[in-house]
This record gives sequence, C-alpha cells and structure tokens, in this order.
Amino acid sequence: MEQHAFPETETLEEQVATALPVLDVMGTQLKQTSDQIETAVMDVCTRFQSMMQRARAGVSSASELLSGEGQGSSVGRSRESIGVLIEEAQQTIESLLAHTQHSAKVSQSAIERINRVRAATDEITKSLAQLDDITIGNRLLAVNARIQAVYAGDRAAGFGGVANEIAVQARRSSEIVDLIRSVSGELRSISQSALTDLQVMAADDQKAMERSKQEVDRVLEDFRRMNGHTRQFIEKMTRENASVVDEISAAVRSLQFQDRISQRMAHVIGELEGLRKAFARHTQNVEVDSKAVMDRLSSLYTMHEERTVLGTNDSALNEGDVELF
Amino acid sequence: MAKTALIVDDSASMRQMVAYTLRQGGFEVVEGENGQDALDKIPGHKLELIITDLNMPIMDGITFIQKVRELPAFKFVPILMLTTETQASKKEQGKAAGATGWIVKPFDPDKLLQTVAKVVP
Repeated sequence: MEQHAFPETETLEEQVATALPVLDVMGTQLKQTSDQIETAVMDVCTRFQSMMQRARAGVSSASELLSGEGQGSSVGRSRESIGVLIEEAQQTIESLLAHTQHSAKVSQSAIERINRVRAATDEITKSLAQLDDITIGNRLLAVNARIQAVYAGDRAAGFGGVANEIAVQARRSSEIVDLIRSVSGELRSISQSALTDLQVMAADDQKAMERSKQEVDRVLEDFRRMNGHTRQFIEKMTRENASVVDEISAAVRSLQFQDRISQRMAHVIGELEGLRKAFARHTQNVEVDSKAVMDRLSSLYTMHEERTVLGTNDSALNEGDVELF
Repeated sequence: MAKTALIVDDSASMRQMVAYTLRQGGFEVVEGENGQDALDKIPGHKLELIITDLNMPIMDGITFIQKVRELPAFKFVPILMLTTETQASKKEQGKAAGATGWIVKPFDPDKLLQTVAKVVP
C-alpha cells in the first residue's frame, strides 16, 4: 500500500538505512504490546482467581450447612443443621406436651381426692342426722323426767334438776350439730366448686393440648418440607458453583496462551534486533534522512504510548479523559 | 507449618498462576524472575519444591538447576521444569542437570498439584 511505502532512493543501502529506525520502533512496539498483554492477563487472572475463591467458599459453606458441620455456633457444631434444629424443636414441643399431660394427671388426682372429701362430708351429714335423733331422744327424756318429778313431789325434786340439765345438754348438742352441719355444707359447696373448676380446667387443657399438638405437628411438617426444598436448592447451587469453579479454572488455564505469545514475540523481537544490527553494519557509512519515514509513522499512530515510542510526547489527554467542545 | 515453593519464570502472569495454584495446595511461595534472581533469593529459605521455566533471560532454567544442585542444602529438593519446550533433547538436558520432572505449558492446576504431591513427601 502506498501509505506504507518507503521513499524512493538511489540504492538498496539507502533504502535499508532509511528503514532502520522503523525496525527499532517495531521492536519496541512489539515489546510494549507483549507487556500490555501480560498486564491485562494478570489482571483478568487475579479477578478470575478471586471469583474462584469466592465460588469455592460458597461451595464449602453450603456443604457445611447441609452436613451440619458449621463452626459459627456457640452451642456446638452439630446444631447448625436445620434438620437437627427441627428435630430439637420437635423434642422440645413433645417435652412440653408431656409436661401438660403430667399436669392433667395431677388435676385428675386432685379431683379424685376432692371426691373422697365429698364422700367424707356425706358421712358426716349422715352422722349428724343420728345426732339429731339422739338430741330429740334426750329432750323427750328430760320432759318425761320433769313430769315424773312433779308426780313424785318434793322427794323427787332432784330429778327435776337432772331433767333441766339434760334439756340444757340436748340444746347445746343441737347447736353443735347445727354448726357442724353448716361447716359441712360450706365444705361440700367449696369442694363442689373446686371440683367443677378442676374438671373444666382439665378438659380445656386436654383440648388445648390436642390442638397444640396438631398445630405443632403441622408447623414442623411445613418446616421439614421447606428444609427439604432448601436442601435441594442448596445442593443445586453447590453443583452450579462447583461447575463455575471448573469453568473459571479452565478459563485461567486458557489465559496461559499469553506466555506462549510472549515467547514468540520475544523471538521475533530478538530477530528484528539482529536484523537491525546486521543492516546497521552494512549501512553505517550511508547518509540518509529518515525524517519523512518517521513523520509518516507519527501520522499513523494515535495512541499516547505509540507516540512515546517515536520519542514524541504531545498527548494532552490521558486514558479515560473526556473533553467536550 | 506450610511448605515453601520457589517459582522461577520470567513471565509475571505465569508466576501468578503457578503461585495461586500452589497456595491452593497449601504452599507458601517465593518468586524469582530468572535463574540468577532465584539463586540470589534462595539463601535463608527452606524449600520443599522448585518449579522453573526453561527459557529465561540472564540465566536459563538448565543453568539454574545445575547451580542449585551444587548447593548442598538444595541437592535433593524436587525441581519441576514448567516450560513450553517439547524437544526430547532439551528434556534430556534438564534431566541431566538434575530436574525431577518436566511439565509442558499450558499446565492444568489440578494436574500440577497431583504431580507436586508425587514429588513432595
């Protein structure tokens, strides 16, 4: 192409001498390009390795979560597992239910004791009826004694005193029986009330316990199902992560192409340098002006680093700069 | 205590890739840019492994291995050559110089670690 042609000169030596600076520039361009590729590959490698690190950490964490071997808990390694936590929750709930059942048994036992108290109260009531009969008998006896004392006259005045005393005792006995009956009735009433409360409470506890058990079983079943889904998801993500690690690893391996390119470019640069030296030996006495060739290169180069190779540093902008007109 | 490996390669990216792989395998890593640079760095280190390139400026891998084998402390350290070189004659030269093994680039990280496990007790 005309754009790349060297100026026409008289001899081959002059042509070669004119081109010598270009060989220098080519060698430097190749070296810098090789260095840039290496820098870019290292940057990509660093990022890939960071990604691999994180993907591996993800796989490791997921595996620990699935196996319940996490070390973050203060209560022990095995408690990290969601499955283990659910089983522990189940055991705790069952323990609470067992405690409630025990309370129900205690209530039942209290009901039986109160029933025995009621039976004893009934016995007391029966005994009080017998005491009533005795009191009535004593009163009749006192009345008869008074009548006999009147018939007997002064000789039986002592019977009258005895009869009065029997009447007094019968009255006191009757008052005590009434008091005992009253207390017994109150006791019966209180025990009946306590019995009713306990029976209602025991029945409510039993229903609440059955409802709680059903609810807990349902919630735990939901947890188990969710845990199963979560495990499947984590297992899938673990496989995906492992696959990503493999792919990144393969990509990093592919990036080793840079080393091969670098070597090949180094060989080319070496040969170019050899050629330049050989040409220089043959043209050391040839006077030429390479300015036109260098100017042409300068007009072709757009990047700052390319112009730097030519020894011109006229760039006013840096990479990433934005300038609005 | 972690084992220490020396990586010798004029390519910074290759040193980085090999170093990353070896660190994954539990090694601490010392790096040299060529044979001479590595020779200057190894005194004071207890090395369990050396991985070196063949073609390097200033001092190549074969010469480096010969120099290392002259040092009593490193006479029996496993040395793997990691190179693009595939010629049998070069491989024989490496073996004669004292190399333990020869790995052709590009390397597979897992395979490299498997090979290292075979030569590092």
